Amino acid sequence: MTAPAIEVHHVSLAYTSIDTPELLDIHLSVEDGELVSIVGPSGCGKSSLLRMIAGVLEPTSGHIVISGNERKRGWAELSFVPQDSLLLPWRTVLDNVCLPLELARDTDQQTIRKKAQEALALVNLSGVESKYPRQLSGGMRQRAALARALVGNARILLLDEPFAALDALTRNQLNLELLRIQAQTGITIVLVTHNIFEAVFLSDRVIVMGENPGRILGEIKIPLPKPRTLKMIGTPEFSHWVGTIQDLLETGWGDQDEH
Amino acid sequence: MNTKRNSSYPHLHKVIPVMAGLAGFVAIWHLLSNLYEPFILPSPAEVAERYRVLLDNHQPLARHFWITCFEALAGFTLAVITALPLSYYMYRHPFLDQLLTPFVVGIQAVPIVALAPLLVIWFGFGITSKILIAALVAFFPIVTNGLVGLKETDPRLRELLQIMGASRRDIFFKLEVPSSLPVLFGGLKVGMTLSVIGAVVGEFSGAGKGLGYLVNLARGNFDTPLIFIGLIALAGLGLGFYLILSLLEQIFMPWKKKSML
Amino acid sequence: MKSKWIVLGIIIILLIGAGIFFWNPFRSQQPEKITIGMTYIPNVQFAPWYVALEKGFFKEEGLDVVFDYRMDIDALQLVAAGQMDFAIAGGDQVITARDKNIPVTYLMSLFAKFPPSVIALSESGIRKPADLKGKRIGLPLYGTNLLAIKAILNRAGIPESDVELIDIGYTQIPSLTEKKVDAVVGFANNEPVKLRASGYDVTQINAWDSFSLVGHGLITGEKQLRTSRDTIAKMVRATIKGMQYTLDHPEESLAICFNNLKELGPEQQALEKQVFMESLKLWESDYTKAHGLGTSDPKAWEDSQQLMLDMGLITHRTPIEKLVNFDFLK
Repeated sequence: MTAPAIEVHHVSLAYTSIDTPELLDIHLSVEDGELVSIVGPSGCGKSSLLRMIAGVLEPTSGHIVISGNERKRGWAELSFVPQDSLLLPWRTVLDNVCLPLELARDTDQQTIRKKAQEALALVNLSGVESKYPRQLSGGMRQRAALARALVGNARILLLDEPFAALDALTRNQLNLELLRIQAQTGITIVLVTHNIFEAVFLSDRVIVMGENPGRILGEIKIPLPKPRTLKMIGTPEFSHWVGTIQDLLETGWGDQDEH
Repeated sequence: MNTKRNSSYPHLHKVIPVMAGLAGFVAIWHLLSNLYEPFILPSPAEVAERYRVLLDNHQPLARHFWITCFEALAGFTLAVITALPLSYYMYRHPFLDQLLTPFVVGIQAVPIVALAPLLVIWFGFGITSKILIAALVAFFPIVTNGLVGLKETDPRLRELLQIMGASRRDIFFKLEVPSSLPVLFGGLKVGMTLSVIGAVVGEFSGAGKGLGYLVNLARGNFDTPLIFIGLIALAGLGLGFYLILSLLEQIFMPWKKKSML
Repeated sequence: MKSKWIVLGIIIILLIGAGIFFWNPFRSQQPEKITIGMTYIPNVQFAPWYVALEKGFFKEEGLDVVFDYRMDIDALQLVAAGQMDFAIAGGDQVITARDKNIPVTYLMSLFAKFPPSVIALSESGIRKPADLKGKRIGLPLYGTNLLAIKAILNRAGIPESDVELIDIGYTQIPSLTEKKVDAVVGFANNEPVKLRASGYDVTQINAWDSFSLVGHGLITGEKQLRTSRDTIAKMVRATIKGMQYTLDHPEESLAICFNNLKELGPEQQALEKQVFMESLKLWESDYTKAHGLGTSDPKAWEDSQQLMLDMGLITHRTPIEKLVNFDFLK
């Protein structure tokens, strides 16, 4: 029995004052290969939670375990896709995707470039290798950021509201891409979003958070079959799950546990 | 795609407006000079004539030009070598930043015209003092802009690179340096211009050669056309340096949209 | 709609203002505003004018005088262009300017003697021009100072190639004390005074022994000579009065100077007093004793111009009546 990909053990975060913590007693785990969404209102600390998992923010109490090991920063197991793609403007698309491998320093330049091209193909972004980020559309930039996150050997993909700034059509496209990647690679995915529809569409399980202080209100398994299609979005079953999550968000505490 | 169009006449494209502008400038100058005495505003023809006399008397402008050019260039280089590491240390050690910033700001405010004679006394009438003065004036905008450029590093990018496992060196070379280049180049351009001014001011305090000395000499002899020759040469020098830096900018920052030089 | 009325209102206000300004019934009774370009920072050498102001000599003549302290050359050219009424410049500067067809004319001298001086530390043993052979002489390599050293060398029959002339800008004092050069060319009433006050023993070779031209004095432009002869006469009269008063009452005049130089502390005042006393010595020569304060010898002008021509400092002769106008000193 393999260890869960991510274990968050009773983590709290209080960097402004102990009396009003940003996050209070977060306890959750993510299994290998799962796609879990974290949904909550703005400011509930979900981004901070993700950053703690990524290792760039220290919890005030509690600890986080990645693949059975105490999580540490720069772990090649983890990669991150931020909200603003955050591609380095001074590098071409290809060079941006090469970056994680460059930093890992364990392959030669030629292999790195080859892997980068493969990653771009994986996200359907071949053909723009020599362009600069400013020359790409928002959707293409996010794809490139995705390719960058996938180019290495990461087993865990963290995404922080990656499609929030995009239009609905592009967002749907990229959602499908993400599902395809999950199916193709079996990578574990944790996605932070404020879009309930997106959460239901993508996830195997949705973790719902509340604010003041940031805490987990509940977890909801989404038993819809995969592969999922956009047509599912209109169905009553889909709406049911959206409604359930909505209720949980609104009413605060509630344990909706439908196995 | 675009390759065919750029082949034969790419530079003609840019050169024509500049030539037209230059011609227009000379035309306006000529018109204005009719309104003033030749010793206040000589006409372009009078200045050209004075230049011819200069050549006839074997008093080449070139000698003065290259001396000032060298002083400015050497001073600028010295400023860059000292300012860049300092700006980085100030960036990495906020304590140092707090300590030094008042001095940086304060010394910058002292007019170089007042300091130059002192420096010339200390370091002699040769080019050493001029190089030091040029370096002194160029130093401050480079330090300031270097520091600002570094401080503007996007913290989100730094975090992202840390998640990717970047070391301190990686962060410096792959993030902080390229990120600060645009602002730094702004500072370099200002510094370059100031280094020319510094060299000239240094020459005012005792030189015997250089464009600053030439202008001073012309002033003392009421030789307005010669003053103009000196000023035009100085403008040309400043412009030349600016163009070189713009070229370097395009080499070092190929990702930037190409604007007019 | 509303903006129309605002524009109209502004125009009316401007018209009224212009009317008041131009048709002021009291205007003709106001004194003539006169600007003198002093060409140097305020200092005790301008005593005659400070005295004339304080003692009402200007007022008597109906002149409202403004001192413009911008530096050096610009003032001379502004006077030539008619944008400034008078300026203070040297006789040699007038000759050089006229050589470039800049129409200025000398009216009266403040320094009857040509003030530059070759200054050296006593220990250098430089006492006469011949001692300058093989030495390094520092000076600003143009204008009055350059003329002075050339004239001294010329008079002493020393070829320029026997000395080394080094451009030191206006850093004469430190260049000498730091021994960067063997001698400097300064002004007799300036650097030697300051050096001695600092405890240095210095020797002087005075240019007026080699060059008969007058030093700084009052100049004006050709345009002014055509249109404002009255004003010029008044200015010259008031200035001569100021000079005479200063010579007769040096202590009082010095105090008046200090009133105009409030930034001077007691130490500097003592120094400036010495500069003042040395300057006074330059106001008179044998010629002025015979012909009156402020006058200059036409022959000195001719000789000096010839020398400058011989030394290649000017390209052609200017007739003396253009260089200097004696009308106002009668």
